[in-house]
Amino acid sequence: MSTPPVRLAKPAQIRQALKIYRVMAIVAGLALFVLIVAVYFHYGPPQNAHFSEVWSPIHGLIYFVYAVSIANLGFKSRWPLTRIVLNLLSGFVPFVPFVAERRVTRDTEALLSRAEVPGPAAPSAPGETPSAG
Amino acid sequence: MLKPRWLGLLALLVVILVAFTFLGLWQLSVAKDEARKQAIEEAPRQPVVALTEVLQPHAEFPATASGRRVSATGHYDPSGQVVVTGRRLDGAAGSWVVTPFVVDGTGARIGVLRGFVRGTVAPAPTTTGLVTVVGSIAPAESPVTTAAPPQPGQLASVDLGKLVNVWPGEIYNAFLFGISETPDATGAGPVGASATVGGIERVPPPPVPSGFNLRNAAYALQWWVFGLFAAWMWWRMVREDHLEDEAARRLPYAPLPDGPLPDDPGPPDPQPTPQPAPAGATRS
Repeated sequence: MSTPPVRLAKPAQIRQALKIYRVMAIVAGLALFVLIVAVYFHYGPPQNAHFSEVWSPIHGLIYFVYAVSIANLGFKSRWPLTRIVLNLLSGFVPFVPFVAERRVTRDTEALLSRAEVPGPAAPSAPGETPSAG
Repeated sequence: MLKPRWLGLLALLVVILVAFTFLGLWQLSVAKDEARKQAIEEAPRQPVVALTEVLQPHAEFPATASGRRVSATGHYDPSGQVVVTGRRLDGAAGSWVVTPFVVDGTGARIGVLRGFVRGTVAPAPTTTGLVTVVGSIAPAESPVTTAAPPQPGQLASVDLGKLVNVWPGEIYNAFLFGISETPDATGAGPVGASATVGGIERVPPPPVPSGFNLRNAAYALQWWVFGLFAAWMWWRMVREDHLEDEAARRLPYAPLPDGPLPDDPGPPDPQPTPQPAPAGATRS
């Protein structure tokens, strides 16, 4: 055995966490753009604080859910702490949540395929060909 | 058992918790300040109601009345004027000038805070004729017992318990922060105007207790929620690590596979025979 005793969550749990994370990454990435527009309206030439006063708390809430979805996926996939923290910080930089979302999805899919395909402990039933599709 | 790594992260967590708690408290104070600012800005636009509609002589001060704009018509009674010492306005030390005002209709007196003077010498109202006063109504102040006994005509607070013995007739359980008079019997100008010849300045009424600015209150809440989030992260990491150690201790050689365990071989045969490997146990 070469792999250390890593306690991954069940693949279905990781898959679910990834689904929630991907939705939240897109929503948080878009919410950040809206916030930038709101801040422009507030402090830029329009000098209209109303929009940002309404949106800022909403953005805060969205970001919080995004952060929880990152932590959820991170714990289930056994990310190192730095990766979780970097992903949390990514929510503050425009565009980066979208980049992070693609990378995390790719890595998580790779992790899931490694966890599921060789499956020494869960051999495919006789007569059933794996990866038939 | 806590490993040094978790202790280090615990220290970081404590720093985060303390910082976020204070950031939340800061936002809470901003929330209060913003609400205060709004209340001050809106105060002059509040409707003015007749004093007689808000309060009757001797009646208890209604809790919701504080800060309401009221108007009263009557005349000043300069003989009962007092100064409340030990006050400050814009950093200057001085006194409040409180003059009893006899309200038409009821004949009862209500103290009107006409303004602030540096020192303790207060000008009397310029007329004892009919005046209409608009002011912000406030409950009486608590008696001050620690201060040295003031000289005659001086008080340490707007203490109606003392004034009721000095002023004749009935008395309202309240006083007014004078905002304007028609005709002007004080000559102080509007609130915020600098001292005039008489040396008397209007005292801005205290802002109405106004709760929170919701946005900043939400920010305060968010800081605290993120503090809890950090605490949860730490607890979760320690727990994961602990469970991992437990699993490693239970199974020192290989991890537990996800699928069903290989068949239990059962108790060993009394006569050892070469056993074939179980079907599921072969690995590449």
